[in-house]
Amino acid sequence: MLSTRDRNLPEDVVNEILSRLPVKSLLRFKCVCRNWYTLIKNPDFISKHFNQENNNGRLLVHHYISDIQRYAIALFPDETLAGIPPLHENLDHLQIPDCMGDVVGPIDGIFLVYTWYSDGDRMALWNPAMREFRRLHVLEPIFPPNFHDKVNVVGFGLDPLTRDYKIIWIRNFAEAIGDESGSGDEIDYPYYVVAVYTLGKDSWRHFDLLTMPTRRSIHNSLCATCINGAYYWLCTVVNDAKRYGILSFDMRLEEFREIEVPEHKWGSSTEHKWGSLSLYNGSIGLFFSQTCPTLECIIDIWVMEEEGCWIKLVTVKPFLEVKRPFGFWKEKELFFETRTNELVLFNHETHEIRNLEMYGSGCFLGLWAVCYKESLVSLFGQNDEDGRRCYQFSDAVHDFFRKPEPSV
Amino acid sequence: MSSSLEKNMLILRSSDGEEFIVPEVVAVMSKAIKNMVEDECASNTIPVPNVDANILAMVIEFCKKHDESEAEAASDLKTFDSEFVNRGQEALYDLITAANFRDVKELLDALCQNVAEMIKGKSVHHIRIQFLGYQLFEILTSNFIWNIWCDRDFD
Repeated sequence: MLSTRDRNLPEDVVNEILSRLPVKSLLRFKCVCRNWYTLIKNPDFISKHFNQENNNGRLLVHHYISDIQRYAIALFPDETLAGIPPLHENLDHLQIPDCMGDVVGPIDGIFLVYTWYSDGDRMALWNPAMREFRRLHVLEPIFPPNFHDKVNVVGFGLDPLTRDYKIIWIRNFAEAIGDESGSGDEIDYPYYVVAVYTLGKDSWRHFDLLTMPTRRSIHNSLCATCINGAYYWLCTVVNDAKRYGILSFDMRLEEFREIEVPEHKWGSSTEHKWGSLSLYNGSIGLFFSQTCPTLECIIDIWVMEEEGCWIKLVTVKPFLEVKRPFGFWKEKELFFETRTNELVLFNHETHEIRNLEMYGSGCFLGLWAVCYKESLVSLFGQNDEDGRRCYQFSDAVHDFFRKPEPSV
Repeated sequence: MSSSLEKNMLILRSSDGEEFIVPEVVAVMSKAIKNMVEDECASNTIPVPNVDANILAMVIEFCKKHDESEAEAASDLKTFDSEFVNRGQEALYDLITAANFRDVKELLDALCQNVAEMIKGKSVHHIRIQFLGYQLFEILTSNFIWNIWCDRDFD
Protein backbone atom coordinates (compact mmCIF):
# COMPACT_ATOMS: atom_id res chain seq x y z
CA MET A 1 0.00 0.00 0.00
CA LEU A 2 1.24 3.45 -0.83
CA SER A 3 0.12 5.22 2.25
CA THR A 4 -0.53 4.17 5.81
CA ARG A 5 -0.63 5.74 9.22
CA ASP A 6 3.19 5.65 9.42
CA ARG A 7 4.01 6.49 5.87
CA ASN A 8 1.77 9.01 4.28
CA LEU A 9 2.34 10.37 0.83
CA PRO A 10 2.73 14.14 1.15
CA GLU A 11 -0.43 16.10 0.42
CA ASP A 12 1.00 17.80 -2.67
CA VAL A 13 1.94 14.42 -4.17
CA VAL A 14 -1.58 13.07 -3.63
CA ASN A 15 -2.86 16.31 -5.16
CA GLU A 16 -0.56 15.77 -8.16
CA ILE A 17 -1.70 12.17 -8.63
CA LEU A 18 -5.40 13.00 -8.38
CA SER A 19 -5.06 15.90 -10.83
CA ARG A 20 -4.08 13.34 -13.48
CA LEU A 21 -7.25 11.27 -13.17
CA PRO A 22 -10.24 11.44 -15.51
CA VAL A 23 -13.33 13.25 -14.21
CA LYS A 24 -15.22 9.95 -14.01
CA SER A 25 -12.74 8.51 -11.51
CA LEU A 26 -12.68 11.70 -9.45
CA LEU A 27 -16.47 11.77 -9.16
CA ARG A 28 -16.22 8.30 -7.66
CA PHE A 29 -13.20 9.12 -5.46
CA LYS A 30 -14.93 12.14 -3.89
CA CYS A 31 -16.22 9.70 -1.32
CA VAL A 32 -12.91 8.01 -0.44
CA CYS A 33 -12.40 10.39 2.46
CA ARG A 34 -13.20 13.91 3.53
CA ASN A 35 -9.80 15.27 2.44
CA TRP A 36 -10.28 13.99 -1.08
CA TYR A 37 -13.84 15.31 -1.19
CA THR A 38 -12.66 18.79 -0.20
CA LEU A 39 -9.75 18.67 -2.62
CA ILE A 40 -11.82 17.56 -5.63
CA LYS A 41 -14.24 20.46 -5.10
CA ASN A 42 -11.45 23.03 -4.61
CA PRO A 43 -11.38 25.63 -7.43
CA ASP A 44 -7.55 25.65 -7.54
CA PHE A 45 -7.52 21.88 -7.91
CA ILE A 46 -10.23 22.06 -10.61
CA SER A 47 -8.11 24.54 -12.54
CA LYS A 48 -4.93 22.44 -12.07
CA HIS A 49 -6.80 19.36 -13.25
CA PHE A 50 -8.15 21.13 -16.35
CA ASN A 51 -4.71 22.45 -17.34
CA GLN A 52 -2.83 19.24 -16.52
CA GLU A 53 -0.79 18.28 -19.57
CA ASN A 54 -2.27 14.80 -19.82
CA ASN A 55 -5.81 16.24 -20.00
CA ASN A 56 -5.52 16.28 -23.77
CA GLY A 57 -7.95 17.99 -26.02
CA ARG A 58 -10.12 15.32 -27.63
CA LEU A 59 -12.24 15.61 -30.70
CA LEU A 60 -15.97 15.86 -30.15
CA VAL A 61 -18.14 15.51 -33.23
CA HIS A 62 -21.85 16.01 -33.77
CA HIS A 63 -22.70 13.78 -36.72
CA TYR A 64 -25.50 11.96 -38.47
CA ILE A 65 -25.85 8.19 -38.51
CA SER A 66 -27.83 7.27 -41.58
CA ASP A 67 -28.47 3.63 -40.49
CA ILE A 68 -30.57 4.72 -37.56
CA GLN A 69 -31.49 8.13 -39.03
CA ARG A 70 -30.47 10.23 -36.08
CA TYR A 71 -27.79 12.59 -34.87
CA ALA A 72 -25.34 11.60 -32.19
CA ILE A 73 -22.30 12.99 -30.47
CA ALA A 74 -19.05 11.06 -30.60
CA LEU A 75 -15.95 11.68 -28.51
CA PHE A 76 -12.71 10.25 -29.86
CA PRO A 77 -10.80 8.35 -27.17
CA ASP A 78 -7.44 9.99 -27.84
CA GLU A 79 -5.39 12.24 -30.07
CA THR A 80 -4.76 9.61 -32.74
CA LEU A 81 -8.39 10.09 -33.83
CA ALA A 82 -8.77 6.37 -34.29
CA GLY A 83 -11.12 3.86 -32.79
CA ILE A 84 -14.32 5.76 -32.35
CA PRO A 85 -16.51 3.57 -30.15
CA PRO A 86 -19.82 2.44 -31.61
CA LEU A 87 -22.80 4.41 -30.41
CA HIS A 88 -24.15 1.85 -27.95
CA GLU A 89 -20.89 2.00 -26.00
CA ASN A 90 -21.04 5.77 -25.74
CA LEU A 91 -21.98 7.15 -22.40
CA ASP A 92 -25.44 8.55 -22.46
CA HIS A 93 -24.39 11.83 -20.90
CA LEU A 94 -23.01 12.74 -24.32
CA GLN A 95 -26.30 12.11 -26.05
CA ILE A 96 -28.83 14.86 -26.01
CA PRO A 97 -31.83 14.89 -28.36
CA ASP A 98 -31.61 15.36 -32.12
CA CYS A 99 -33.17 18.73 -32.58
CA MET A 100 -30.79 20.35 -30.20
CA GLY A 101 -30.67 23.74 -31.80
CA ASP A 102 -27.41 25.47 -31.22
CA VAL A 103 -24.45 24.47 -29.11
CA VAL A 104 -21.78 27.01 -28.20
CA GLY A 105 -18.56 26.00 -26.56
CA PRO A 106 -16.70 24.51 -24.99
CA ILE A 107 -15.47 26.90 -22.33
CA ASP A 108 -13.74 24.98 -19.51
CA GLY A 109 -15.48 21.82 -20.69
CA ILE A 110 -18.92 23.47 -20.58
CA PHE A 111 -21.32 23.96 -23.47
CA LEU A 112 -24.18 26.39 -23.85
CA VAL A 113 -27.22 24.65 -25.38
CA TYR A 114 -29.74 26.91 -26.99
CA THR A 115 -33.03 26.02 -28.60
CA TRP A 116 -36.41 27.52 -29.31
CA TYR A 117 -39.97 26.27 -29.26
CA SER A 118 -43.31 27.91 -29.86
CA ASP A 119 -43.39 29.01 -26.21
CA GLY A 120 -40.06 30.80 -26.42
CA ASP A 121 -36.31 30.43 -26.24
CA ARG A 122 -34.62 27.94 -23.95
CA MET A 123 -31.05 27.88 -22.71
CA ALA A 124 -29.06 25.45 -20.63
CA LEU A 125 -25.47 24.85 -19.62
CA TRP A 126 -24.07 21.38 -20.01
CA ASN A 127 -20.91 19.78 -18.61
CA PRO A 128 -20.87 16.28 -20.16
CA ALA A 129 -18.01 14.93 -18.01
CA MET A 130 -19.74 15.98 -14.78
CA ARG A 131 -23.10 14.76 -16.13
CA GLU A 132 -24.53 18.13 -15.30
CA PHE A 133 -27.24 19.87 -17.26
CA ARG A 134 -28.65 23.08 -15.86
CA ARG A 135 -31.57 24.80 -17.48
CA LEU A 136 -31.42 28.57 -17.15
CA HIS A 137 -34.43 30.79 -16.86
CA VAL A 138 -34.56 33.05 -19.88
CA LEU A 139 -35.64 36.60 -19.26
CA GLU A 140 -36.83 38.34 -22.38
CA PRO A 141 -36.49 42.09 -22.85
CA ILE A 142 -39.81 43.92 -22.71
CA PHE A 143 -41.19 44.60 -26.16
CA PRO A 144 -44.77 45.06 -27.33
CA PRO A 145 -46.28 41.75 -28.54
CA ASN A 146 -46.09 42.66 -32.22
CA PHE A 147 -42.28 42.68 -32.04
CA HIS A 148 -40.36 39.53 -32.86
CA ASP A 149 -36.68 38.75 -32.90
CA LYS A 150 -34.88 38.30 -36.21
CA VAL A 151 -31.19 37.81 -35.65
CA ASN A 152 -29.80 35.61 -32.94
CA VAL A 153 -26.16 35.51 -32.00
CA VAL A 154 -24.82 33.95 -28.81
CA GLY A 155 -21.50 34.00 -27.05
CA PHE A 156 -20.39 32.24 -23.90
CA GLY A 157 -17.27 32.84 -21.84
CA LEU A 158 -15.53 33.35 -18.56
CA ASP A 159 -14.88 36.57 -16.68
CA PRO A 160 -11.28 35.89 -15.61
CA LEU A 161 -11.47 38.16 -12.57
CA THR A 162 -14.58 36.83 -10.86
CA ARG A 163 -14.24 33.36 -12.44
CA ASP A 164 -17.89 33.63 -13.35
CA TYR A 165 -19.43 32.41 -16.61
CA LYS A 166 -21.41 34.79 -18.77
CA ILE A 167 -23.69 34.39 -21.77
CA ILE A 168 -24.05 37.21 -24.28
CA TRP A 169 -27.08 37.10 -26.50
CA ILE A 170 -27.41 39.65 -29.29
CA ARG A 171 -30.70 40.05 -31.12
CA ASN A 172 -32.38 42.30 -33.59
CA PHE A 173 -36.09 42.94 -33.16
CA ALA A 174 -38.61 44.04 -35.74
CA GLU A 175 -42.13 45.34 -35.44
CA ALA A 176 -44.75 43.74 -37.65
CA ILE A 177 -47.14 46.23 -39.13
CA GLY A 178 -50.15 45.55 -41.30
CA ASP A 179 -52.69 42.76 -40.97
CA GLU A 180 -52.62 39.92 -38.48
CA SER A 181 -51.70 37.29 -41.01
CA GLY A 182 -48.17 38.65 -40.83
CA SER A 183 -48.00 39.35 -44.52
CA GLY A 184 -47.47 43.06 -43.91
CA ASP A 185 -44.22 44.97 -43.72
CA GLU A 186 -42.01 45.19 -40.73
CA ILE A 187 -39.88 47.91 -39.22
CA ASP A 188 -36.57 47.10 -37.57
CA TYR A 189 -35.89 48.27 -34.07
CA PRO A 190 -32.85 50.51 -34.72
CA TYR A 191 -30.44 48.85 -32.25
CA TYR A 192 -29.25 45.38 -31.50
CA VAL A 193 -30.58 44.31 -28.12
CA VAL A 194 -28.01 42.67 -25.87
CA ALA A 195 -28.78 40.34 -22.99
CA VAL A 196 -25.98 39.35 -20.61
CA TYR A 197 -26.49 36.45 -18.23
CA THR A 198 -24.21 35.92 -15.22
CA LEU A 199 -24.21 32.35 -13.89
CA GLY A 200 -23.02 33.17 -10.34
CA LYS A 201 -25.83 35.68 -9.85
CA ASP A 202 -28.31 33.81 -12.07
CA SER A 203 -29.39 37.16 -13.48
CA TRP A 204 -29.95 38.89 -16.83
CA ARG A 205 -29.13 42.43 -17.89
CA HIS A 206 -30.55 43.96 -21.07
CA PHE A 207 -29.24 46.95 -22.95
CA ASP A 208 -29.09 48.37 -26.47
CA LEU A 209 -25.90 48.03 -28.46
CA LEU A 210 -25.63 51.67 -29.45
CA THR A 211 -22.30 51.52 -31.26
CA MET A 212 -23.24 49.01 -33.91
CA PRO A 213 -25.95 49.76 -36.48
CA THR A 214 -28.26 46.91 -37.40
CA ARG A 215 -27.10 47.33 -40.98
CA ARG A 216 -24.14 45.22 -39.94
CA SER A 217 -24.77 41.57 -39.44
CA ILE A 218 -23.03 39.58 -36.71
CA HIS A 219 -22.07 35.95 -37.27
CA ASN A 220 -21.77 33.07 -34.85
CA SER A 221 -18.25 31.64 -34.61
CA LEU A 222 -17.28 28.05 -35.39
CA CYS A 223 -16.46 27.40 -31.72
CA ALA A 224 -16.50 29.51 -28.55
CA THR A 225 -14.13 32.31 -29.60
CA CYS A 226 -13.46 33.59 -26.11
CA ILE A 227 -9.90 34.48 -25.11
CA ASN A 228 -8.62 36.26 -22.01
CA GLY A 229 -12.05 37.39 -20.98
CA ALA A 230 -13.22 38.71 -24.35
CA TYR A 231 -15.59 37.13 -26.86
CA TYR A 232 -15.17 37.82 -30.58
CA TRP A 233 -17.67 37.75 -33.45
CA LEU A 234 -17.13 38.38 -37.10
CA CYS A 235 -19.47 40.97 -38.64
CA THR A 236 -20.20 42.24 -42.12
CA VAL A 237 -21.82 45.31 -43.54
CA VAL A 238 -25.14 44.18 -44.96
CA ASN A 239 -25.16 44.34 -48.76
CA ASP A 240 -21.38 44.43 -48.81
CA ALA A 241 -20.30 41.00 -47.74
CA LYS A 242 -16.69 41.78 -48.54
CA ARG A 243 -16.33 44.30 -45.72
CA TYR A 244 -15.58 42.51 -42.51
CA GLY A 245 -14.93 43.67 -38.97
CA ILE A 246 -14.80 42.12 -35.53
CA LEU A 247 -17.03 42.88 -32.60
CA SER A 248 -15.63 41.97 -29.21
CA PHE A 249 -17.25 41.89 -25.79
CA ASP A 250 -15.22 42.37 -22.62
CA MET A 251 -16.62 39.90 -20.08
CA ARG A 252 -15.42 41.89 -17.09
CA LEU A 253 -16.38 45.42 -18.09
CA GLU A 254 -19.41 44.26 -20.12
CA GLU A 255 -18.38 46.60 -22.91
CA PHE A 256 -18.21 46.17 -26.66
CA ARG A 257 -15.27 47.11 -28.86
CA GLU A 258 -14.69 46.97 -32.58
CA ILE A 259 -11.52 45.57 -34.11
CA GLU A 260 -10.29 45.82 -37.67
CA VAL A 261 -9.59 42.71 -39.68
CA PRO A 262 -6.66 42.46 -42.09
CA GLU A 263 -7.08 43.90 -45.55
CA HIS A 264 -8.01 41.01 -47.76
CA LYS A 265 -7.84 40.66 -51.52
CA TRP A 266 -10.47 38.37 -52.92
CA GLY A 267 -9.87 36.58 -56.19
CA SER A 268 -11.51 38.23 -59.18
CA SER A 269 -13.23 35.12 -60.49
CA THR A 270 -14.50 34.11 -57.07
CA GLU A 271 -17.94 32.64 -57.10
CA HIS A 272 -18.65 32.40 -53.40
CA LYS A 273 -16.72 33.99 -50.53
CA TRP A 274 -17.19 34.10 -46.82
CA GLY A 275 -15.34 34.65 -43.56
CA SER A 276 -15.53 32.67 -40.33
CA LEU A 277 -13.93 32.84 -36.91
CA SER A 278 -12.40 30.03 -34.88
CA LEU A 279 -9.52 29.37 -32.48
CA TYR A 280 -5.95 28.57 -33.40
CA ASN A 281 -3.55 27.47 -30.68
CA GLY A 282 -5.08 29.75 -28.07
CA SER A 283 -5.54 32.73 -30.41
CA ILE A 284 -8.36 33.93 -32.63
CA GLY A 285 -8.12 32.40 -36.11
CA LEU A 286 -9.86 33.97 -39.08
CA PHE A 287 -10.74 32.03 -42.24
CA PHE A 288 -11.35 33.80 -45.51
CA SER A 289 -12.71 31.14 -47.82
CA GLN A 290 -13.55 31.43 -51.48
CA THR A 291 -14.63 29.03 -54.14
CA CYS A 292 -13.85 29.50 -57.80
CA PRO A 293 -16.25 28.63 -60.62
CA THR A 294 -14.30 25.36 -60.93
CA LEU A 295 -15.38 24.65 -57.31
CA GLU A 296 -11.80 24.80 -56.16
CA CYS A 297 -11.60 26.24 -52.66
CA ILE A 298 -8.90 28.59 -51.37
CA ILE A 299 -8.72 29.47 -47.69
CA ASP A 300 -6.56 32.21 -46.22
CA ILE A 301 -5.95 31.84 -42.52
CA TRP A 302 -5.07 34.77 -40.31
CA VAL A 303 -4.22 34.67 -36.63
CA MET A 304 -4.76 37.53 -34.20
CA GLU A 305 -1.58 37.70 -32.11
CA GLU A 306 -2.98 40.41 -29.89
CA GLU A 307 -6.06 42.53 -30.23
CA GLY A 308 -6.00 44.16 -33.68
CA CYS A 309 -2.61 42.68 -34.63
CA TRP A 310 -2.93 40.06 -37.37
CA ILE A 311 -0.43 37.77 -39.02
CA LYS A 312 -1.16 35.59 -41.99
CA LEU A 313 -0.61 31.96 -41.07
CA VAL A 314 -1.08 30.17 -44.36
CA THR A 315 -3.07 29.94 -47.55
CA VAL A 316 -4.46 26.49 -48.18
CA LYS A 317 -5.89 24.99 -51.32
CA PRO A 318 -7.04 21.69 -49.91
CA PHE A 319 -8.78 19.91 -52.78
CA LEU A 320 -11.89 20.30 -54.77
CA GLU A 321 -14.88 19.56 -52.66
CA VAL A 322 -14.64 21.70 -49.54
CA LYS A 323 -17.99 22.94 -48.31
CA ARG A 324 -16.71 24.81 -45.28
CA PRO A 325 -13.83 24.83 -42.82
CA PHE A 326 -14.58 23.98 -39.17
CA GLY A 327 -11.44 24.81 -37.27
CA PHE A 328 -8.04 23.59 -36.25
CA TRP A 329 -6.81 20.37 -34.81
CA LYS A 330 -3.49 20.88 -33.03
CA GLU A 331 -1.21 23.20 -34.98
CA LYS A 332 -0.94 21.76 -38.43
CA GLU A 333 -4.32 20.34 -39.24
CA LEU A 334 -7.66 21.72 -40.30
CA PHE A 335 -11.11 20.23 -40.37
CA PHE A 336 -13.45 20.54 -43.28
CA GLU A 337 -16.86 19.44 -44.24
CA THR A 338 -16.83 18.29 -47.84
CA ARG A 339 -19.60 18.83 -50.32
CA THR A 340 -20.59 15.22 -49.77
CA ASN A 341 -20.95 15.93 -46.03
CA GLU A 342 -17.90 14.06 -44.85
CA LEU A 343 -15.59 15.21 -42.08
CA VAL A 344 -11.98 15.33 -43.23
CA LEU A 345 -8.72 16.36 -41.65
CA PHE A 346 -6.21 18.21 -43.78
CA ASN A 347 -2.59 18.78 -42.84
CA HIS A 348 -1.58 22.12 -44.34
CA GLU A 349 2.14 21.24 -44.33
CA THR A 350 2.17 17.74 -45.72
CA HIS A 351 -1.16 18.15 -47.58
CA GLU A 352 -2.20 14.80 -46.22
CA ILE A 353 -5.94 14.21 -46.21
CA ARG A 354 -7.70 11.92 -43.80
CA ASN A 355 -11.34 11.00 -43.87
CA LEU A 356 -12.64 10.52 -40.33
CA GLU A 357 -15.70 8.60 -41.47
CA MET A 358 -18.14 10.88 -39.75
CA TYR A 359 -20.96 12.30 -41.80
CA GLY A 360 -23.40 15.15 -41.84
CA SER A 361 -26.84 14.99 -43.34
CA GLY A 362 -26.60 18.04 -45.56
CA CYS A 363 -28.55 20.06 -43.05
CA PHE A 364 -26.94 23.30 -41.94
CA LEU A 365 -25.07 22.81 -38.64
CA GLY A 366 -25.82 19.08 -38.76
CA LEU A 367 -22.12 18.33 -38.61
CA TRP A 368 -19.73 20.10 -36.30
CA ALA A 369 -16.50 19.29 -34.53
CA VAL A 370 -14.70 20.92 -31.61
CA CYS A 371 -11.68 20.21 -29.47
CA TYR A 372 -12.96 19.22 -26.02
CA LYS A 373 -11.19 18.88 -22.66
CA GLU A 374 -13.12 17.51 -19.73
CA SER A 375 -13.40 19.58 -16.58
CA LEU A 376 -14.58 19.34 -12.97
CA VAL A 377 -16.29 22.72 -13.05
CA SER A 378 -19.72 22.42 -11.48
CA LEU A 379 -22.67 24.33 -12.90
CA PHE A 380 -24.35 24.33 -9.52
CA GLY A 381 -21.73 26.09 -7.42
CA GLN A 382 -20.01 24.75 -4.34
CA ASN A 383 -22.87 24.06 -2.00
CA ASP A 384 -25.28 22.07 -4.03
CA GLU A 385 -25.99 18.53 -2.96
CA ASP A 386 -24.34 16.45 -5.68
CA GLY A 387 -26.33 13.29 -5.27
CA ARG A 388 -29.54 14.95 -6.25
CA ARG A 389 -28.26 16.33 -9.52
CA CYS A 390 -26.49 13.15 -10.64
CA TYR A 391 -29.82 11.41 -10.79
CA GLN A 392 -31.43 14.37 -12.45
CA PHE A 393 -29.21 14.57 -15.52
CA SER A 394 -31.42 12.63 -17.91
CA ASP A 395 -34.60 14.17 -16.47
CA ALA A 396 -33.18 17.66 -16.90
CA VAL A 397 -32.24 16.98 -20.52
CA HIS A 398 -35.61 15.41 -21.22
CA ASP A 399 -37.54 18.33 -19.73
CA PHE A 400 -35.44 20.85 -21.57
CA PHE A 401 -36.22 19.37 -24.98
CA ARG A 402 -39.86 18.57 -24.27
CA LYS A 403 -42.20 20.17 -26.79
CA PRO A 404 -44.69 22.60 -25.27
CA GLU A 405 -48.26 21.36 -24.81
CA PRO A 406 -50.43 22.66 -27.66
CA SER A 407 -52.55 25.51 -26.35
CA VAL A 408 -56.28 24.92 -26.47
CA MET B 1 39.66 11.10 -3.22
CA SER B 2 37.97 14.20 -4.50
CA SER B 3 41.17 15.26 -6.25
CA SER B 4 41.08 12.18 -8.45
CA LEU B 5 37.53 12.94 -9.44
CA GLU B 6 37.01 14.14 -12.98
CA LYS B 7 35.75 17.63 -13.49
CA ASN B 8 32.01 18.09 -13.47
CA MET B 9 31.48 14.92 -11.51
CA LEU B 10 29.81 14.69 -8.11
CA ILE B 11 29.62 11.97 -5.51
CA LEU B 12 26.20 11.19 -4.04
CA ARG B 13 26.13 9.26 -0.77
CA SER B 14 22.99 7.28 0.04
CA SER B 15 21.55 6.97 3.55
CA ASP B 16 23.19 3.56 3.94
CA GLY B 17 26.60 4.93 3.00
CA GLU B 18 27.02 3.78 -0.58
CA GLU B 19 28.60 6.32 -2.94
CA PHE B 20 27.73 7.00 -6.58
CA ILE B 21 29.83 9.03 -9.00
CA VAL B 22 27.56 10.93 -11.35
CA PRO B 23 28.03 13.78 -13.82
CA GLU B 24 26.97 17.12 -12.38
CA VAL B 25 24.43 17.68 -15.17
CA VAL B 26 22.66 14.51 -14.07
CA ALA B 27 22.80 15.27 -10.36
CA VAL B 28 21.38 18.75 -10.77
CA MET B 29 18.20 17.36 -12.28
CA SER B 30 17.33 17.25 -8.61
CA LYS B 31 16.48 20.85 -7.76
CA ALA B 32 17.50 20.26 -4.15
CA ILE B 33 21.00 19.19 -5.24
CA LYS B 34 21.13 21.98 -7.82
CA ASN B 35 20.49 24.54 -5.10
CA MET B 36 23.23 23.06 -2.96
CA VAL B 37 25.70 23.15 -5.84
CA GLU B 38 24.78 26.69 -6.82
CA ASP B 39 25.06 27.94 -3.27
CA GLU B 40 28.46 26.21 -3.12
CA CYS B 41 27.51 24.68 0.19
CA ALA B 42 28.31 21.23 -1.15
CA SER B 43 31.69 19.60 -1.26
CA ASN B 44 32.18 16.98 -3.93
CA THR B 45 30.38 14.46 -1.79
CA ILE B 46 26.71 15.20 -1.32
CA PRO B 47 24.81 13.22 1.27
CA VAL B 48 21.34 12.13 0.23
CA PRO B 49 19.64 11.28 3.50
CA ASN B 50 16.42 9.23 3.56
CA VAL B 51 17.26 7.60 0.23
CA ASP B 52 18.91 4.18 0.30
CA ALA B 53 21.39 2.86 -2.28
CA ASN B 54 18.80 0.77 -4.08
CA ILE B 55 16.45 3.69 -4.67
CA LEU B 56 19.24 6.17 -5.33
CA ALA B 57 20.56 3.92 -8.10
CA MET B 58 17.13 3.92 -9.70
CA VAL B 59 16.83 7.70 -9.50
CA ILE B 60 20.27 8.10 -11.09
CA GLU B 61 19.37 5.66 -13.86
CA PHE B 62 16.26 7.70 -14.62
CA CYS B 63 18.09 11.03 -14.63
CA LYS B 64 20.90 9.69 -16.83
CA LYS B 65 18.43 8.45 -19.39
CA HIS B 66 16.63 11.78 -19.43
CA ASP B 67 19.91 13.69 -19.71
CA GLU B 68 21.17 11.58 -22.61
CA SER B 69 17.98 11.46 -24.51
CA GLU B 70 17.14 15.12 -24.76
CA ALA B 71 17.56 14.84 -28.50
CA GLU B 72 15.84 11.48 -28.69
CA ALA B 73 12.28 11.10 -29.82
CA ALA B 74 9.83 12.04 -27.09
CA SER B 75 7.90 8.84 -27.68
CA ASP B 76 10.98 6.70 -26.86
CA LEU B 77 11.41 8.57 -23.61
CA LYS B 78 7.75 8.07 -22.81
CA THR B 79 8.13 4.33 -23.30
CA PHE B 80 11.18 4.33 -21.06
CA ASP B 81 9.31 6.31 -18.39
CA SER B 82 6.32 4.02 -18.36
CA GLU B 83 8.56 0.93 -18.11
CA PHE B 84 10.75 2.54 -15.48
CA VAL B 85 7.92 3.41 -13.13
CA ASN B 86 6.22 0.05 -13.52
CA ARG B 87 7.28 -1.32 -10.11
CA GLY B 88 5.79 -2.75 -6.95
CA GLN B 89 4.09 -0.47 -4.48
CA GLU B 90 6.99 -0.53 -2.00
CA ALA B 91 9.52 0.71 -4.55
CA LEU B 92 7.00 3.19 -5.93
CA TYR B 93 6.46 4.67 -2.51
CA ASP B 94 10.21 5.02 -1.92
CA LEU B 95 10.78 6.49 -5.36
CA ILE B 96 7.97 9.01 -4.96
CA THR B 97 9.30 10.07 -1.58
CA ALA B 98 12.82 10.44 -2.99
CA ALA B 99 11.65 12.32 -6.10
CA ASN B 100 9.47 14.62 -4.04
CA PHE B 101 12.05 15.26 -1.32
CA ARG B 102 14.92 15.77 -3.78
CA ASP B 103 12.65 17.67 -6.17
CA VAL B 104 13.23 15.70 -9.39
CA LYS B 105 10.32 16.99 -11.44
CA GLU B 106 10.44 14.65 -14.45
CA LEU B 107 10.61 11.59 -12.23
CA LEU B 108 7.82 12.79 -9.96
CA ASP B 109 5.63 13.50 -13.00
CA ALA B 110 6.22 10.04 -14.43
CA LEU B 111 5.55 8.38 -11.06
CA CYS B 112 2.37 10.34 -10.39
CA GLN B 113 1.12 9.52 -13.89
CA ASN B 114 1.80 5.85 -13.23
CA VAL B 115 -0.06 5.84 -9.93
CA ALA B 116 -2.94 7.69 -11.60
CA GLU B 117 -3.12 4.96 -14.28
CA MET B 118 -3.04 2.30 -11.54
CA ILE B 119 -5.91 3.71 -9.53
CA LYS B 120 -8.20 5.31 -12.09
CA GLY B 121 -10.40 2.27 -12.60
CA LYS B 122 -10.42 1.14 -8.97
CA SER B 123 -13.36 1.14 -6.61
CA VAL B 124 -13.61 3.41 -3.58
CA HIS B 125 -13.25 0.40 -1.31
CA HIS B 126 -10.07 -0.69 -3.08
CA ILE B 127 -8.56 2.81 -2.80
CA ARG B 128 -9.26 2.95 0.90
CA ILE B 129 -7.82 -0.47 1.72
CA GLN B 130 -5.01 -0.79 -0.79
CA PHE B 131 -3.97 2.77 -1.43
CA LEU B 132 -4.65 4.54 1.82
CA GLY B 133 -4.27 1.52 4.11
CA TYR B 134 -7.54 1.97 5.94
CA GLN B 135 -8.46 -0.71 8.42
CA LEU B 136 -11.80 -2.41 7.98
CA PHE B 137 -12.61 -1.39 11.53
CA GLU B 138 -12.24 2.31 10.73
CA ILE B 139 -14.44 2.10 7.71
CA LEU B 140 -17.15 0.38 9.71
CA THR B 141 -17.16 2.89 12.54
CA SER B 142 -15.99 6.44 12.07
CA ASN B 143 -16.98 6.72 8.45
CA PHE B 144 -20.34 5.02 8.73
CA ILE B 145 -22.50 7.94 7.59
CA TRP B 146 -19.97 8.92 4.95
CA ASN B 147 -20.20 5.41 3.53
CA ILE B 148 -23.93 5.42 3.18
CA TRP B 149 -23.61 8.66 1.28
CA CYS B 150 -20.89 7.16 -0.88
CA ASP B 151 -22.58 3.93 -1.78
CA ARG B 152 -24.44 5.67 -4.54
CA ASP B 153 -23.28 4.58 -7.93
CA PHE B 154 -21.82 7.32 -10.08
CA ASP B 155 -21.56 5.26 -13.24
